Amino acid sequence: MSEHTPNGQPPLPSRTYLLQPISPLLFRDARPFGADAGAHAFSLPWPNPRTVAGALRTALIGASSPNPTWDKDDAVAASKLLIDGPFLMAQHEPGGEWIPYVPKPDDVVPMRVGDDKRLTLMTLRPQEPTVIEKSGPGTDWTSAPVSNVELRPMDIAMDAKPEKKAPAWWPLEQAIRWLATSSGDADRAILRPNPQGNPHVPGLDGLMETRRIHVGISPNTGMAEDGILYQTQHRVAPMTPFDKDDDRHPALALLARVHGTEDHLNVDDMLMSLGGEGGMVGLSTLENTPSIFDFPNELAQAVAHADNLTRLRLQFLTPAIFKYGTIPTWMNDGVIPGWRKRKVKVKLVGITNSRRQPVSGWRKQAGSRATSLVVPAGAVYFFETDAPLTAELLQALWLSSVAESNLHRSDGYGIVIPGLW
Amino acid sequence: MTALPPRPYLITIAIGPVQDFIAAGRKVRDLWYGSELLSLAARETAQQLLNLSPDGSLNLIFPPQPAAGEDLPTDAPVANLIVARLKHDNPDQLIKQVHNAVKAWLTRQLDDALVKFRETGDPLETAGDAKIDVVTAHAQVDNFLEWFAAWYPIAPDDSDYHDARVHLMRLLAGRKSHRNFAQEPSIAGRQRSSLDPARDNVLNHALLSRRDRRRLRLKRDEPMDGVSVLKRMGGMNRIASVSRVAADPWIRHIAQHDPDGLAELNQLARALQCTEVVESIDTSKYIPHYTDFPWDTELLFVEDLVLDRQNDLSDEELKLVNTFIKTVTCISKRTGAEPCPYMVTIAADGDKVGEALSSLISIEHHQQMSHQLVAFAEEASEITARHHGVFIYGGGDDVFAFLPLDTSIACAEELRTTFASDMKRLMCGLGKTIEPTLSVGLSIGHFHEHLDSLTNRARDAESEAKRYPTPEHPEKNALAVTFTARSSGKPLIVTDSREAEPVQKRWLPAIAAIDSGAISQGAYRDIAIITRELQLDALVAALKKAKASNTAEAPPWTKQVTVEVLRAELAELLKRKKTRDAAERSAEMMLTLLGNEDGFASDDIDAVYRAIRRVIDRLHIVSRMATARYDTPPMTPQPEEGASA
Repeated sequence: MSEHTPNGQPPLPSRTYLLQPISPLLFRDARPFGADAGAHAFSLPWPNPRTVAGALRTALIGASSPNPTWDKDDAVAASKLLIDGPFLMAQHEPGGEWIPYVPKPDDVVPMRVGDDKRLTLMTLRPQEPTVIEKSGPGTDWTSAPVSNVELRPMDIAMDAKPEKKAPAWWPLEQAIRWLATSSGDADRAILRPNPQGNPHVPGLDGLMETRRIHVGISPNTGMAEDGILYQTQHRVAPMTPFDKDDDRHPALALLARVHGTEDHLNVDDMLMSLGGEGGMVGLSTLENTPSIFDFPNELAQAVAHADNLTRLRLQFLTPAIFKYGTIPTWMNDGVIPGWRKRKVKVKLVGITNSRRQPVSGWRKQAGSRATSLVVPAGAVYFFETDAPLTAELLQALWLSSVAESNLHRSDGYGIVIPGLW
Repeated sequence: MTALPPRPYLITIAIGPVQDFIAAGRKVRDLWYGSELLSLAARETAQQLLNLSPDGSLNLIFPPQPAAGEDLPTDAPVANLIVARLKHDNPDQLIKQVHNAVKAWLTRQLDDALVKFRETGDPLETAGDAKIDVVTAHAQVDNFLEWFAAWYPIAPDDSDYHDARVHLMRLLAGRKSHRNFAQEPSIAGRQRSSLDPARDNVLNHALLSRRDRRRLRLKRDEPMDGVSVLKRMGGMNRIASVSRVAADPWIRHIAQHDPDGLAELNQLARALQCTEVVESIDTSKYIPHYTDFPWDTELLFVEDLVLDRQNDLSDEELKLVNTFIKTVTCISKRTGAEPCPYMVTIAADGDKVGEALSSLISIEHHQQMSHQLVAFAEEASEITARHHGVFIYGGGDDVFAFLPLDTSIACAEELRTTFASDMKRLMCGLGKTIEPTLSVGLSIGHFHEHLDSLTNRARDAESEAKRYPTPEHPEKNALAVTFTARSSGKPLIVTDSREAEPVQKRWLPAIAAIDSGAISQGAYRDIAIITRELQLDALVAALKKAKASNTAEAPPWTKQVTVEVLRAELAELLKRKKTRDAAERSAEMMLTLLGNEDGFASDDIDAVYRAIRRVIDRLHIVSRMATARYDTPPMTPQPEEGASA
């Protein structure tokens, strides 16, 4: 068990758990669903942090509580468990090491160009702040009532359409290499030859999709009802690596770090439920702390070699909820939450993100939660700082949460990793 | 501070969300009006640009500029990207004014929809216990439109139009990479909308009457957000459901062979039109090809009938329902034809249109292209109607529609040839050699499936057509046809390059072979069994492996397996296969169909195998289509492959 200091919280013991799906999992979106003809239960491709945090709290408190049923003390104890994650882990060889993967960053766009449809990567960076005469080029921007925000559109250098078949998850090692690349040369930093020798973006598509057709059962007769066929969509994680169609498919799992008191972190392994319809996952601990929790030396070196670099990127590993949509209210102070003790101010100058997603959920007694719209994981925020970046400054942001509320932070929302540009 | 003098700009406004918004639907009406609403919002954007710009300072490019003094037509589709030339001193300010005007227009659309709802006779209140939470509904409608705008200076004589347009589109793409949004109003404890999980339910079901639910086309207790209420109540009812589309071949058949039976069904449907199980279709103006039976009802599908367990029909209405069902059964027995519950979703998209646009260097040329794309959208709607389908949207080079099984291939072909010839004529006239084409995806599915599945599969088929033969080297200009049995989530996919003239040389011969009885509807199973008997998959895998490793070390037998041996063996087994048709004739026909496929005549055994697999899938799909071709020999009932329920 290791000691960690979650962002903004007093030091708490923590433990890292691997969650290996055993059955197909269903992470329902908020649409109502009933066993009617043609009905369809949709699953999100990846669970929201709150889903995993809630399941872990229930499992860990349940395992350590002397009470056979959930009581008020258990609820209080559960609320004190702070969760980082979930992160995707892949095991490429049976019994091999589990490798962390992160959502692909939105500041790289794979494209095919030229007659030979060569794969290339377009780097997105905010346009340079040229002296714009009032009658020059421009874009609309509906401003939020937040200070220190001077957003500029991304500089687009190519006109090709984005390649749709690009991996949704990158190996952490590749993401770090990209975050350490201040030049923006993405082809050099990312593209690698595939087994056929063609350049490709290494990565994974994430959990697999499967659909199940169900037959409605009459509550009166207990028999199948004519014509009542409905469908559920599930997510599946291979438990062992396998080969299919000349491709290696790794075993997949979720990783989460839990901060709490030692009483509640004494579980080594257990079966627990995750998502809808009682999906089962096996919870276990890893022998070695996964590399994702260590500030990478490559970033430290990159910042050391850069001269007075004052441009910071933040890549979101989990979705973020902000009161003003994409704009964090902490920008009013010009201070990123992980830098509150440091006297470095920032200006937000660019954002690249995919379309907002809804998050709600259920509370046992109160019913559904209010919906929040989130900035999806993979978003990249660009800042300019008023002091040169240092390895120490970047380390303070590594795997920190920039969520606006303590509740969201404790559920694992808004976790970022820093980089240069 | 002195005001700057007006100067010329190219401006562009993109509105959204498009695909996600349109696809958020449970009923065809949601799809259709979602797309209609976006088209109307785009039209309103262009119209407001005209209204709010000083006279003569705005020249629309996309959509095309209307004649002097006239408004934009209300019935022509407008794509979600507006481009114009503007002479103005402050484009930012003008675009803000236009944005506010479009939001106000959207609010009026919701108000109109609520008035329509109120006109049902049940008073709509605005207090806390109102049937509809109007405040939340308005906030949701106010928040739903995505809006991105960019402007770029252009020379007064437009001489740098081409470069300015390139810069403008890049600027817009840079702006769109930030998908800004505002939080939606949401209250804990409220249900989420059944159409869009991001938005709260605004309906108070305790106060909704049966009539209210019917107006909103709701299942009982179905939650719905304000934007979805607008989708359900907005505009005129110009649409028919997927069940009506699926039933159309049968209705055309009985109109010819049992007109009295059809008249009886019409009478019963008329008597039931005030219930949840029958809805009238306005064929007087919008869907005249459904005049024979202008009703949306699932009662036609007796075997698939699911009388919503929550429907509150009276005893009298239930009696009528039972009579309707019995009448359908009687007609089916008399004519030997049952309604087929499968139909086709078509999604098509132009190829090389961006390239063609980039090759044009003047505003006038782009305006001509703009006119041509609008004309094609109108043609596409007419073509779909001619093939008894329901047109959902066509914006620019995009087409989305539902079609009956028996007309889908012909419709796809007419759309493709029309688009290609329109574009060729235009580009030749402008002195350009680029010839845009149309990639088409057809997806066969059961009408009872969730609309989301039907639309997604059609989009997948279109993507398949766009990246054929490989994602790395797509030829585009292809036709992809997929079939998904209701009881199996896995689709069959057959994709052909247009170069191979797949409709004339592959689909129509296969259809003719089954229609004429030359081969049976189950013929694809015969070939599938033979490939299993020959263990072709294992053989091909072994040969590939041997080839990949070292042919010198390959087992000796691999050298003896030649494609000639394989083809001869296949022919022999086909002739010996006992079918209800004359074995010899059937075998010859199947070998002809196999010969039509790419690769069957090649020396590559893998290519031969792929050709055989493609014929199996093609005949399987054609067999399904044959169930809605009622003038062909009666189908021998056979279990669906993969059926589990």
